Amino acid sequence: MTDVVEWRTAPDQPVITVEDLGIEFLRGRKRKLSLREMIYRGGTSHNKETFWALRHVSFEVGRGEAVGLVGGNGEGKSTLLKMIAGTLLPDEGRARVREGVAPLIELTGGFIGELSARENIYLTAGLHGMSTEQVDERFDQIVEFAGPQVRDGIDKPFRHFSSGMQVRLGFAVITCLDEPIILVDEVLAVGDKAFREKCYDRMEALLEQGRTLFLVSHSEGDLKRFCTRGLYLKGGAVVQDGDMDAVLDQYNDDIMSQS
Amino acid sequence: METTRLAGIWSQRKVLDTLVRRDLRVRYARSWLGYVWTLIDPLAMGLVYFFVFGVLFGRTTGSDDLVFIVYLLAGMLPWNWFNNSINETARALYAERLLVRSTNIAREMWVIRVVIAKGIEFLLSLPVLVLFVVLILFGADLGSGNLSLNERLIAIVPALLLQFVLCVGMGLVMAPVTALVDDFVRIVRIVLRMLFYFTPIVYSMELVDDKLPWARDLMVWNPLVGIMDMWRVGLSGKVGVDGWAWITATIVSFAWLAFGLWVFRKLEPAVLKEI
Repeated sequence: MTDVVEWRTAPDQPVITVEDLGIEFLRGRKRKLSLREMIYRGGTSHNKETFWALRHVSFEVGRGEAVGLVGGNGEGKSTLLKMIAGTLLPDEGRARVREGVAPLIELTGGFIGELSARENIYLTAGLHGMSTEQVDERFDQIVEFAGPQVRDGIDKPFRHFSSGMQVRLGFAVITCLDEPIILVDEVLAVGDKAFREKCYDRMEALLEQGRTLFLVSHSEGDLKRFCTRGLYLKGGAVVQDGDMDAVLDQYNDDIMSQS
Repeated sequence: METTRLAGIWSQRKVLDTLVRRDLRVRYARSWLGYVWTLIDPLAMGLVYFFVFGVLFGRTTGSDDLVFIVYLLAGMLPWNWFNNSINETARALYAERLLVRSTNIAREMWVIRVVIAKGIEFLLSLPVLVLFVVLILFGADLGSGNLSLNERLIAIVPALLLQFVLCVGMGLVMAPVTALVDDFVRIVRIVLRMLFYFTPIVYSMELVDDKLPWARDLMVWNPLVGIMDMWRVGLSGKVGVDGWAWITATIVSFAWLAFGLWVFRKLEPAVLKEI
Protein backbone atom coordinates (compact mmCIF):
# COMPACT_ATOMS: atom_id res chain seq x y z
CA MET A 1 0.00 0.00 0.00
CA THR A 2 1.54 3.27 -1.06
CA ASP A 3 0.47 6.62 0.28
CA VAL A 4 -0.20 8.29 -3.03
CA VAL A 5 -2.98 7.06 -5.25
CA GLU A 6 -2.20 7.16 -8.94
CA TRP A 7 -5.23 8.27 -10.94
CA ARG A 8 -5.67 7.96 -14.64
CA THR A 9 -8.72 10.22 -14.81
CA ALA A 10 -9.04 13.97 -14.33
CA PRO A 11 -9.94 15.02 -10.74
CA ASP A 12 -13.48 16.12 -11.62
CA GLN A 13 -14.26 13.17 -13.88
CA PRO A 14 -16.51 10.47 -12.44
CA VAL A 15 -14.65 7.20 -11.89
CA ILE A 16 -17.78 5.07 -12.15
CA THR A 17 -20.61 5.89 -14.52
CA VAL A 18 -23.61 3.58 -14.56
CA GLU A 19 -26.04 4.26 -17.40
CA ASP A 20 -29.47 2.70 -17.67
CA LEU A 21 -28.08 -0.58 -16.35
CA GLY A 22 -30.27 -3.69 -16.48
CA ILE A 23 -29.73 -7.39 -16.00
CA GLU A 24 -32.21 -10.19 -16.50
CA PHE A 25 -32.16 -13.55 -14.72
CA LEU A 26 -34.17 -16.72 -15.15
CA ARG A 27 -36.58 -17.27 -12.33
CA GLY A 28 -36.18 -21.05 -12.31
CA ARG A 29 -33.24 -22.20 -10.27
CA LYS A 30 -32.14 -24.70 -12.86
CA ARG A 31 -30.71 -23.09 -15.89
CA LYS A 32 -28.22 -25.67 -16.96
CA LEU A 33 -29.47 -27.35 -20.07
CA SER A 34 -29.13 -30.97 -20.89
CA LEU A 35 -28.88 -32.30 -24.42
CA ARG A 36 -30.71 -35.48 -23.41
CA GLU A 37 -33.65 -33.41 -22.27
CA MET A 38 -33.62 -31.29 -25.40
CA ILE A 39 -33.75 -34.34 -27.62
CA TYR A 40 -36.38 -36.29 -25.65
CA ARG A 41 -38.77 -33.45 -25.05
CA GLY A 42 -38.06 -31.36 -28.09
CA GLY A 43 -37.23 -28.48 -25.88
CA THR A 44 -36.14 -27.80 -22.36
CA SER A 45 -38.22 -28.22 -19.28
CA HIS A 46 -36.74 -25.33 -17.39
CA ASN A 47 -38.75 -22.32 -16.55
CA LYS A 48 -38.35 -19.66 -19.19
CA GLU A 49 -39.82 -16.96 -17.00
CA THR A 50 -37.32 -14.19 -16.40
CA PHE A 51 -37.12 -11.19 -14.12
CA TRP A 52 -35.05 -8.04 -14.10
CA ALA A 53 -32.80 -8.05 -11.03
CA LEU A 54 -31.88 -4.48 -11.87
CA ARG A 55 -33.27 -2.15 -14.46
CA HIS A 56 -32.85 1.50 -15.49
CA VAL A 57 -30.19 2.05 -12.88
CA SER A 58 -28.11 5.18 -13.44
CA PHE A 59 -25.68 7.03 -11.20
CA GLU A 60 -22.17 8.44 -11.09
CA VAL A 61 -19.49 8.09 -8.48
CA GLY A 62 -16.61 10.53 -8.27
CA ARG A 63 -13.12 10.39 -6.90
CA GLY A 64 -12.85 9.80 -3.17
CA GLU A 65 -16.52 9.12 -2.63
CA ALA A 66 -17.50 6.38 -0.20
CA VAL A 67 -20.80 4.90 -1.31
CA GLY A 68 -22.85 2.44 0.72
CA LEU A 69 -25.40 0.20 -0.99
CA VAL A 70 -28.48 -0.47 1.11
CA GLY A 71 -31.37 -2.81 0.47
CA GLY A 72 -32.99 -6.07 1.50
CA ASN A 73 -31.84 -9.51 0.42
CA GLY A 74 -32.31 -10.19 -3.26
CA GLU A 75 -32.65 -6.55 -4.25
CA GLY A 76 -29.62 -6.66 -6.51
CA LYS A 77 -26.88 -5.18 -4.34
CA SER A 78 -24.28 -7.87 -5.00
CA THR A 79 -25.35 -8.08 -8.63
CA LEU A 80 -24.69 -4.37 -9.07
CA LEU A 81 -21.32 -4.72 -7.37
CA LYS A 82 -20.34 -7.58 -9.66
CA MET A 83 -21.27 -5.59 -12.74
CA ILE A 84 -19.05 -2.76 -11.55
CA ALA A 85 -16.28 -5.28 -10.90
CA GLY A 86 -16.85 -6.57 -14.44
CA THR A 87 -17.56 -10.15 -13.38
CA LEU A 88 -21.16 -9.96 -14.60
CA LEU A 89 -22.18 -8.37 -17.88
CA PRO A 90 -25.34 -6.27 -18.16
CA ASP A 91 -28.12 -7.08 -20.61
CA GLU A 92 -28.99 -3.41 -20.98
CA GLY A 93 -27.03 -0.20 -20.59
CA ARG A 94 -23.52 -0.22 -19.25
CA ALA A 95 -21.26 0.34 -16.29
CA ARG A 96 -18.14 2.29 -17.15
CA VAL A 97 -15.32 2.04 -14.66
CA ARG A 98 -12.40 4.29 -15.50
CA GLU A 99 -9.97 3.25 -12.79
CA GLY A 100 -8.55 -0.02 -11.55
CA VAL A 101 -10.65 -2.00 -9.12
CA ALA A 102 -9.65 -3.96 -6.02
CA PRO A 103 -12.58 -6.32 -5.43
CA LEU A 104 -13.02 -7.70 -1.91
CA ILE A 105 -15.42 -10.30 -3.27
CA GLU A 106 -14.92 -14.07 -2.86
CA LEU A 107 -11.60 -13.48 -1.12
CA THR A 108 -10.15 -16.96 -1.25
CA GLY A 109 -11.54 -17.83 -4.68
CA GLY A 110 -8.21 -17.45 -6.43
CA PHE A 111 -6.10 -19.53 -4.07
CA ILE A 112 -5.02 -23.07 -4.85
CA GLY A 113 -4.62 -25.53 -2.00
CA GLU A 114 -1.73 -27.40 -3.58
CA LEU A 115 0.54 -24.40 -3.90
CA SER A 116 2.36 -22.63 -1.09
CA ALA A 117 1.07 -19.38 0.38
CA ARG A 118 4.01 -17.59 -1.23
CA GLU A 119 3.14 -18.84 -4.70
CA ASN A 120 -0.52 -18.06 -4.11
CA ILE A 121 0.28 -14.44 -3.24
CA TYR A 122 2.16 -13.98 -6.50
CA LEU A 123 -0.54 -15.69 -8.52
CA THR A 124 -3.52 -13.86 -7.06
CA ALA A 125 -1.81 -10.47 -7.19
CA GLY A 126 -0.76 -11.27 -10.75
CA LEU A 127 -4.33 -12.09 -11.74
CA HIS A 128 -5.38 -8.70 -10.44
CA GLY A 129 -2.82 -7.03 -12.67
CA MET A 130 0.30 -6.71 -10.51
CA SER A 131 3.68 -7.46 -12.01
CA THR A 132 6.16 -9.73 -10.26
CA GLU A 133 8.33 -6.73 -9.34
CA GLN A 134 5.37 -4.95 -7.80
CA VAL A 135 4.55 -8.02 -5.71
CA ASP A 136 8.22 -8.30 -4.68
CA GLU A 137 8.00 -4.78 -3.34
CA ARG A 138 4.87 -5.41 -1.36
CA PHE A 139 5.42 -9.00 -0.39
CA ASP A 140 6.67 -8.34 3.16
CA GLN A 141 3.89 -5.88 3.76
CA ILE A 142 1.27 -8.40 2.67
CA VAL A 143 2.68 -11.15 4.85
CA GLU A 144 3.10 -8.84 7.81
CA PHE A 145 -0.50 -7.73 7.55
CA ALA A 146 -1.75 -11.31 7.29
CA GLY A 147 -0.06 -12.05 10.60
CA PRO A 148 2.61 -14.23 12.21
CA GLN A 149 0.83 -17.57 11.69
CA VAL A 150 0.76 -16.90 7.94
CA ARG A 151 4.42 -15.90 7.97
CA ASP A 152 5.39 -19.15 9.70
CA GLY A 153 3.57 -21.21 7.11
CA ILE A 154 4.51 -19.14 4.07
CA ASP A 155 6.08 -22.05 2.22
CA LYS A 156 3.58 -24.67 3.31
CA PRO A 157 0.75 -25.77 1.04
CA PHE A 158 -2.11 -23.34 1.32
CA ARG A 159 -4.64 -26.05 2.16
CA HIS A 160 -2.95 -26.57 5.55
CA PHE A 161 -4.04 -23.06 6.53
CA SER A 162 -7.10 -22.64 8.70
CA SER A 163 -10.02 -20.95 6.99
CA GLY A 164 -9.43 -17.87 9.10
CA MET A 165 -5.85 -17.62 7.95
CA GLN A 166 -6.94 -18.11 4.36
CA VAL A 167 -9.31 -15.14 4.38
CA ARG A 168 -6.73 -13.05 6.21
CA LEU A 169 -4.25 -13.65 3.45
CA GLY A 170 -6.92 -12.93 0.84
CA PHE A 171 -7.78 -9.65 2.51
CA ALA A 172 -4.11 -8.71 2.77
CA VAL A 173 -3.43 -9.33 -0.92
CA ILE A 174 -6.45 -7.45 -2.25
CA THR A 175 -6.01 -4.41 -0.02
CA CYS A 176 -2.39 -4.16 -1.14
CA LEU A 177 -3.37 -3.96 -4.80
CA ASP A 178 -3.19 -0.18 -4.76
CA GLU A 179 -6.18 0.29 -7.02
CA PRO A 180 -8.10 3.57 -6.75
CA ILE A 181 -11.50 1.90 -6.44
CA ILE A 182 -12.31 -0.59 -3.69
CA LEU A 183 -15.38 -2.79 -3.96
CA VAL A 184 -16.51 -4.56 -0.81
CA ASP A 185 -19.22 -7.21 -0.56
CA GLU A 186 -19.91 -7.68 3.16
CA VAL A 187 -16.35 -8.78 3.89
CA LEU A 188 -15.18 -5.46 5.27
CA ALA A 189 -13.47 -7.25 8.13
CA VAL A 190 -12.48 -10.88 8.45
CA GLY A 191 -10.87 -13.17 10.97
CA ASP A 192 -10.79 -12.90 14.75
CA LYS A 193 -11.46 -9.77 16.76
CA ALA A 194 -7.88 -8.52 16.73
CA PHE A 195 -7.61 -8.96 12.98
CA ARG A 196 -10.94 -7.28 12.36
CA GLU A 197 -9.58 -4.17 14.05
CA LYS A 198 -6.61 -4.28 11.70
CA CYS A 199 -9.00 -4.54 8.75
CA TYR A 200 -10.92 -1.49 9.90
CA ASP A 201 -7.70 0.48 10.31
CA ARG A 202 -6.55 -0.56 6.87
CA MET A 203 -9.87 0.50 5.34
CA GLU A 204 -9.72 3.86 7.05
CA ALA A 205 -6.15 4.40 5.86
CA LEU A 206 -7.17 3.56 2.29
CA LEU A 207 -10.07 5.99 2.43
CA GLU A 208 -7.92 8.77 3.88
CA GLN A 209 -5.75 8.51 0.79
CA GLY A 210 -8.79 9.55 -1.20
CA ARG A 211 -9.75 6.24 -2.75
CA THR A 212 -13.27 5.52 -3.89
CA LEU A 213 -15.17 2.93 -1.86
CA PHE A 214 -18.23 0.98 -2.89
CA LEU A 215 -19.58 -0.98 0.06
CA VAL A 216 -22.42 -3.48 0.24
CA SER A 217 -23.34 -4.19 3.83
CA HIS A 218 -26.12 -4.99 6.23
CA SER A 219 -24.17 -3.53 9.11
CA GLU A 220 -25.43 -0.05 9.91
CA GLY A 221 -22.31 0.56 11.97
CA ASP A 222 -19.99 -0.13 9.04
CA LEU A 223 -22.06 1.92 6.64
CA LYS A 224 -22.17 4.93 8.94
CA ARG A 225 -18.51 4.63 9.81
CA PHE A 226 -17.17 4.51 6.26
CA CYS A 227 -19.75 5.87 3.84
CA THR A 228 -20.87 9.41 3.17
CA ARG A 229 -23.27 8.68 0.36
CA GLY A 230 -25.96 6.02 0.27
CA LEU A 231 -27.75 4.27 -2.57
CA TYR A 232 -30.98 2.50 -1.67
CA LEU A 233 -31.90 -0.37 -3.98
CA LYS A 234 -35.43 -1.68 -4.00
CA GLY A 235 -37.31 -3.68 -6.62
CA GLY A 236 -34.37 -3.51 -8.99
CA ALA A 237 -34.14 0.28 -9.02
CA VAL A 238 -32.40 3.03 -7.09
CA VAL A 239 -35.14 4.53 -4.93
CA GLN A 240 -32.91 6.91 -3.04
CA ASP A 241 -29.50 8.42 -3.62
CA GLY A 242 -28.21 10.80 -1.00
CA ASP A 243 -26.62 11.31 2.35
CA MET A 244 -25.81 7.97 4.05
CA ASP A 245 -27.70 8.76 7.25
CA ALA A 246 -30.78 9.92 5.38
CA VAL A 247 -30.75 6.78 3.22
CA LEU A 248 -30.45 4.56 6.26
CA ASP A 249 -33.34 6.38 7.95
CA GLN A 250 -35.50 5.84 4.90
CA TYR A 251 -34.51 2.16 4.75
CA ASN A 252 -35.33 1.65 8.42
CA ASP A 253 -38.65 3.44 8.02
CA ASP A 254 -39.53 1.12 5.14
CA ILE A 255 -38.73 -1.94 7.22
CA MET A 256 -40.79 -0.66 10.15
CA SER A 257 -43.78 0.12 7.98
CA GLN A 258 -43.69 -3.35 6.45
CA SER A 259 -43.70 -5.23 9.71
CA MET B 1 -15.76 -5.95 -32.21
CA GLU B 2 -13.58 -9.05 -32.44
CA THR B 3 -10.48 -6.99 -33.15
CA THR B 4 -10.98 -4.84 -30.05
CA ARG B 5 -11.39 -8.02 -28.01
CA LEU B 6 -8.17 -9.35 -29.49
CA ALA B 7 -6.41 -6.09 -28.63
CA GLY B 8 -7.72 -6.41 -25.07
CA ILE B 9 -6.39 -9.94 -24.81
CA TRP B 10 -3.03 -8.84 -26.15
CA SER B 11 -2.77 -6.02 -23.59
CA GLN B 12 -3.31 -8.54 -20.79
CA ARG B 13 -0.79 -11.09 -21.98
CA LYS B 14 1.17 -10.79 -18.72
CA VAL B 15 -1.74 -12.39 -16.90
CA LEU B 16 -1.53 -15.22 -19.38
CA ASP B 17 2.03 -15.85 -18.27
CA THR B 18 0.86 -16.00 -14.65
CA LEU B 19 -1.95 -18.41 -15.50
CA VAL B 20 0.21 -20.74 -17.54
CA ARG B 21 2.86 -20.84 -14.82
CA ARG B 22 0.16 -21.64 -12.32
CA ASP B 23 -1.15 -24.50 -14.45
CA LEU B 24 2.28 -25.99 -14.93
CA ARG B 25 3.20 -25.57 -11.29
CA VAL B 26 0.03 -27.29 -10.18
CA ARG B 27 0.71 -30.08 -12.62
CA TYR B 28 4.33 -30.59 -11.68
CA ALA B 29 4.27 -29.57 -8.00
CA ARG B 30 2.59 -32.67 -6.68
CA SER B 31 5.31 -35.14 -7.55
CA TRP B 32 8.85 -35.10 -8.85
CA LEU B 33 7.63 -37.73 -11.28
CA GLY B 34 5.57 -34.98 -12.93
CA TYR B 35 7.87 -34.55 -15.89
CA VAL B 36 8.45 -38.27 -16.25
CA TRP B 37 4.70 -38.75 -16.69
CA THR B 38 4.79 -36.33 -19.59
CA LEU B 39 7.22 -38.71 -21.28
CA ILE B 40 5.82 -42.06 -20.14
CA ASP B 41 2.30 -41.41 -21.35
CA PRO B 42 3.11 -40.87 -25.07
CA LEU B 43 5.84 -43.49 -24.93
CA ALA B 44 3.45 -46.16 -23.64
CA MET B 45 0.70 -45.28 -26.10
CA GLY B 46 3.19 -45.05 -28.95
CA LEU B 47 4.48 -48.54 -28.18
CA VAL B 48 0.96 -49.95 -28.01
CA TYR B 49 0.02 -48.54 -31.41
CA PHE B 50 3.38 -49.62 -32.78
CA PHE B 51 2.81 -53.25 -31.75
CA VAL B 52 -0.81 -53.34 -32.87
CA PHE B 53 -0.45 -51.59 -36.21
CA GLY B 54 3.24 -51.89 -36.94
CA VAL B 55 3.88 -55.44 -35.79
CA LEU B 56 0.54 -57.29 -35.64
CA PHE B 57 -0.93 -55.74 -38.76
CA GLY B 58 2.51 -55.65 -40.34
CA ARG B 59 2.06 -52.08 -41.38
CA THR B 60 5.36 -51.15 -42.97
CA THR B 61 5.67 -47.90 -44.76
CA GLY B 62 7.97 -49.06 -47.53
CA SER B 63 11.23 -47.48 -48.56
CA ASP B 64 9.47 -44.44 -50.00
CA ASP B 65 7.96 -43.43 -46.69
CA LEU B 66 8.87 -42.43 -43.18
CA VAL B 67 9.78 -45.20 -40.70
CA PHE B 68 6.51 -46.24 -39.09
CA ILE B 69 7.36 -45.60 -35.42
CA VAL B 70 8.54 -42.06 -36.27
CA TYR B 71 5.53 -41.52 -38.54
CA LEU B 72 3.29 -42.63 -35.68
CA LEU B 73 4.89 -40.44 -33.01
CA ALA B 74 5.03 -37.38 -35.29
CA GLY B 75 1.26 -37.71 -35.53
CA MET B 76 0.42 -38.90 -32.05
CA LEU B 77 2.26 -36.24 -30.05
CA PRO B 78 0.53 -33.29 -31.79
CA TRP B 79 -2.71 -35.23 -31.54
CA ASN B 80 -2.24 -35.47 -27.76
CA TRP B 81 -1.87 -31.71 -27.58
CA PHE B 82 -5.05 -31.27 -29.60
CA ASN B 83 -6.97 -33.89 -27.62
CA ASN B 84 -5.88 -32.57 -24.20
CA SER B 85 -6.56 -28.98 -25.24
CA ILE B 86 -10.10 -29.67 -26.36
CA ASN B 87 -10.92 -31.82 -23.33
CA GLU B 88 -9.48 -29.29 -20.91
CA THR B 89 -10.83 -26.14 -22.58
CA ALA B 90 -14.28 -27.67 -22.33
CA ARG B 91 -13.91 -27.44 -18.55
CA ALA B 92 -11.88 -24.22 -18.58
CA LEU B 93 -14.55 -21.81 -17.37
CA TYR B 94 -16.50 -24.15 -15.13
CA ALA B 95 -13.52 -25.68 -13.32
CA GLU B 96 -12.10 -22.23 -12.55
CA ARG B 97 -15.43 -20.62 -11.76
CA LEU B 98 -14.26 -19.23 -8.42
CA LEU B 99 -11.48 -17.33 -10.14
CA VAL B 100 -13.56 -16.38 -13.15
CA ARG B 101 -16.14 -14.90 -10.79
CA SER B 102 -13.64 -12.89 -8.78
CA THR B 103 -11.28 -11.44 -11.39
CA ASN B 104 -11.99 -9.23 -14.33
CA ILE B 105 -9.57 -10.38 -16.97
CA ALA B 106 -10.59 -10.98 -20.58
CA ARG B 107 -12.42 -14.28 -20.18
CA GLU B 108 -10.90 -15.70 -23.37
CA MET B 109 -7.70 -16.00 -21.33
CA TRP B 110 -9.10 -18.98 -19.46
CA VAL B 111 -9.24 -20.88 -22.73
CA ILE B 112 -5.99 -19.62 -24.24
CA ARG B 113 -4.06 -20.48 -21.08
CA VAL B 114 -5.16 -24.13 -21.33
CA VAL B 115 -3.97 -24.39 -24.93
CA ILE B 116 -0.61 -22.83 -24.05
CA ALA B 117 -0.09 -24.96 -20.92
CA LYS B 118 -0.96 -28.11 -22.86
CA GLY B 119 1.28 -26.89 -25.67
CA ILE B 120 4.22 -26.60 -23.30
CA GLU B 121 3.54 -30.11 -22.00
CA PHE B 122 3.49 -31.21 -25.63
CA LEU B 123 6.85 -29.57 -26.34
CA LEU B 124 8.21 -31.29 -23.24
CA SER B 125 7.05 -34.64 -24.64
CA LEU B 126 8.90 -34.13 -27.94
CA PRO B 127 12.10 -35.79 -26.61
CA VAL B 128 10.24 -39.07 -27.14
CA LEU B 129 10.14 -38.39 -30.88
CA VAL B 130 13.72 -37.09 -30.87
CA LEU B 131 14.84 -40.27 -29.11
CA PHE B 132 13.52 -42.53 -31.87
CA VAL B 133 14.88 -40.28 -34.61
CA VAL B 134 18.33 -40.39 -33.00
CA LEU B 135 18.15 -44.16 -32.50
CA ILE B 136 17.38 -44.69 -36.18
CA LEU B 137 20.01 -42.21 -37.33
CA PHE B 138 22.53 -44.19 -35.32
CA GLY B 139 21.55 -47.34 -37.16
CA ALA B 140 18.92 -49.00 -34.97
CA ASP B 141 16.61 -51.16 -37.06
CA LEU B 142 13.06 -50.18 -36.10
CA GLY B 143 11.32 -51.29 -39.26
CA SER B 144 11.69 -50.46 -42.91
CA GLY B 145 11.31 -46.98 -44.24
CA ASN B 146 13.16 -43.79 -44.83
CA LEU B 147 14.41 -41.18 -42.40
CA SER B 148 16.25 -38.21 -43.79
CA LEU B 149 16.01 -34.94 -41.94
CA ASN B 150 15.81 -32.04 -44.35
CA GLU B 151 15.26 -28.29 -44.50
CA ARG B 152 11.49 -28.75 -44.62
CA LEU B 153 11.65 -29.26 -40.84
CA ILE B 154 10.88 -25.54 -40.80
CA ALA B 155 7.26 -26.49 -41.59
CA ILE B 156 6.97 -27.41 -37.89
CA VAL B 157 6.71 -23.68 -37.14
CA PRO B 158 3.50 -23.11 -39.15
CA ALA B 159 2.26 -26.47 -37.85
CA LEU B 160 2.59 -25.24 -34.25
CA LEU B 161 0.98 -21.90 -35.09
CA LEU B 162 -1.95 -23.42 -36.96
CA GLN B 163 -2.61 -25.96 -34.25
CA PHE B 164 -2.56 -23.21 -31.62
CA VAL B 165 -5.06 -21.16 -33.62
CA LEU B 166 -7.24 -24.23 -34.17
CA CYS B 167 -7.22 -25.29 -30.50
CA VAL B 168 -7.99 -21.77 -29.28
CA GLY B 169 -10.82 -21.43 -31.79
CA MET B 170 -12.41 -24.74 -30.87
CA GLY B 171 -11.78 -24.17 -27.16
CA LEU B 172 -13.61 -20.83 -27.30
CA VAL B 173 -16.67 -22.77 -28.45
CA MET B 174 -16.25 -25.68 -26.01
CA ALA B 175 -15.79 -23.66 -22.81
CA PRO B 176 -19.00 -21.59 -22.80
CA VAL B 177 -21.14 -24.35 -24.29
CA THR B 178 -20.11 -26.89 -21.63
CA ALA B 179 -20.68 -24.31 -18.91
CA LEU B 180 -24.28 -24.00 -20.14
CA VAL B 181 -25.10 -27.50 -21.35
CA ASP B 182 -24.43 -30.31 -18.89
CA ASP B 183 -23.71 -33.31 -21.06
CA PHE B 184 -21.98 -31.61 -23.98
CA VAL B 185 -18.65 -32.99 -22.70
CA ARG B 186 -19.75 -36.54 -23.42
CA ILE B 187 -20.41 -35.75 -27.06
CA VAL B 188 -17.09 -33.98 -27.34
CA ARG B 189 -15.33 -37.08 -26.05
CA ILE B 190 -17.02 -39.35 -28.56
CA VAL B 191 -16.28 -36.98 -31.44
CA LEU B 192 -12.65 -36.75 -30.39
CA ARG B 193 -12.27 -40.51 -30.32
CA MET B 194 -13.75 -40.74 -33.82
CA LEU B 195 -11.59 -37.90 -35.04
CA PHE B 196 -8.49 -39.79 -33.93
CA TYR B 197 -9.20 -42.39 -36.59
CA PHE B 198 -10.22 -39.80 -39.19
CA THR B 199 -6.79 -38.26 -38.85
CA PRO B 200 -3.75 -39.88 -40.47
CA ILE B 201 -1.98 -40.93 -37.28
CA VAL B 202 -1.80 -44.72 -37.41
CA TYR B 203 -2.18 -44.79 -41.19
CA SER B 204 -1.10 -42.54 -44.04
CA MET B 205 -3.12 -40.59 -46.58
CA GLU B 206 -1.61 -42.82 -49.29
CA LEU B 207 -3.51 -45.73 -47.76
CA VAL B 208 -6.72 -43.68 -47.97
CA ASP B 209 -6.01 -42.83 -51.64
CA ASP B 210 -5.50 -46.52 -52.24
CA LYS B 211 -8.51 -47.97 -50.44
CA LEU B 212 -11.08 -45.17 -50.30
CA PRO B 213 -10.20 -42.61 -52.98
CA TRP B 214 -13.40 -40.63 -52.46
CA ALA B 215 -12.67 -40.14 -48.74
CA ARG B 216 -9.72 -37.84 -49.32
CA ASP B 217 -11.89 -34.95 -50.46
CA LEU B 218 -13.78 -35.13 -47.18
CA MET B 219 -10.80 -35.79 -44.94
CA VAL B 220 -8.85 -32.90 -46.32
CA TRP B 221 -11.26 -30.58 -44.48
CA ASN B 222 -9.94 -31.98 -41.23
CA PRO B 223 -7.27 -29.35 -40.52
CA LEU B 224 -5.20 -31.91 -38.64
CA VAL B 225 -4.47 -33.70 -41.94
CA GLY B 226 -2.47 -30.72 -43.15
CA ILE B 227 -0.91 -30.07 -39.75
CA MET B 228 0.28 -33.67 -39.44
CA ASP B 229 1.75 -33.47 -42.94
CA MET B 230 3.73 -30.36 -41.96
CA TRP B 231 5.21 -32.35 -39.09
CA ARG B 232 6.31 -35.20 -41.29
CA VAL B 233 7.75 -33.62 -44.46
CA GLY B 234 10.90 -32.52 -42.64
CA LEU B 235 11.59 -35.98 -41.31
CA SER B 236 11.89 -37.66 -44.67
CA GLY B 237 12.88 -36.20 -48.01
CA LYS B 238 10.69 -38.77 -49.71
CA VAL B 239 7.41 -37.60 -48.19
CA GLY B 240 5.70 -35.20 -50.58
CA VAL B 241 4.01 -31.96 -49.53
CA ASP B 242 0.22 -32.24 -49.53
CA GLY B 243 -0.45 -28.70 -50.75
CA TRP B 244 -4.24 -28.82 -50.63
CA ALA B 245 -4.25 -30.14 -47.09
CA TRP B 246 -1.95 -27.30 -46.01
CA ILE B 247 -4.27 -24.72 -47.55
CA THR B 248 -7.45 -26.17 -46.05
CA ALA B 249 -5.72 -26.55 -42.67
CA THR B 250 -4.96 -22.81 -42.72
CA ILE B 251 -8.45 -21.81 -43.82
CA VAL B 252 -10.26 -24.11 -41.41
CA SER B 253 -8.07 -23.20 -38.41
CA PHE B 254 -8.62 -19.46 -38.82
CA ALA B 255 -12.31 -20.03 -39.52
CA TRP B 256 -12.55 -21.82 -36.15
CA LEU B 257 -10.81 -18.92 -34.46
CA ALA B 258 -13.26 -16.39 -35.91
CA PHE B 259 -16.22 -18.62 -35.08
CA GLY B 260 -14.89 -19.26 -31.57
CA LEU B 261 -14.43 -15.57 -30.80
CA TRP B 262 -17.96 -14.89 -32.00
CA VAL B 263 -19.57 -17.72 -30.03
CA PHE B 264 -17.64 -16.82 -26.90
CA ARG B 265 -18.73 -13.19 -27.02
CA LYS B 266 -22.36 -14.20 -27.58
CA LEU B 267 -22.47 -16.68 -24.70
CA GLU B 268 -20.27 -14.85 -22.19
CA PRO B 269 -23.04 -12.92 -20.35
CA ALA B 270 -25.13 -16.07 -19.93
CA VAL B 271 -22.14 -18.08 -18.70
CA LEU B 272 -21.24 -15.46 -16.10
CA LYS B 273 -24.76 -15.56 -14.71
CA GLU B 274 -24.61 -19.33 -14.57
CA ILE B 275 -21.27 -20.21 -12.98
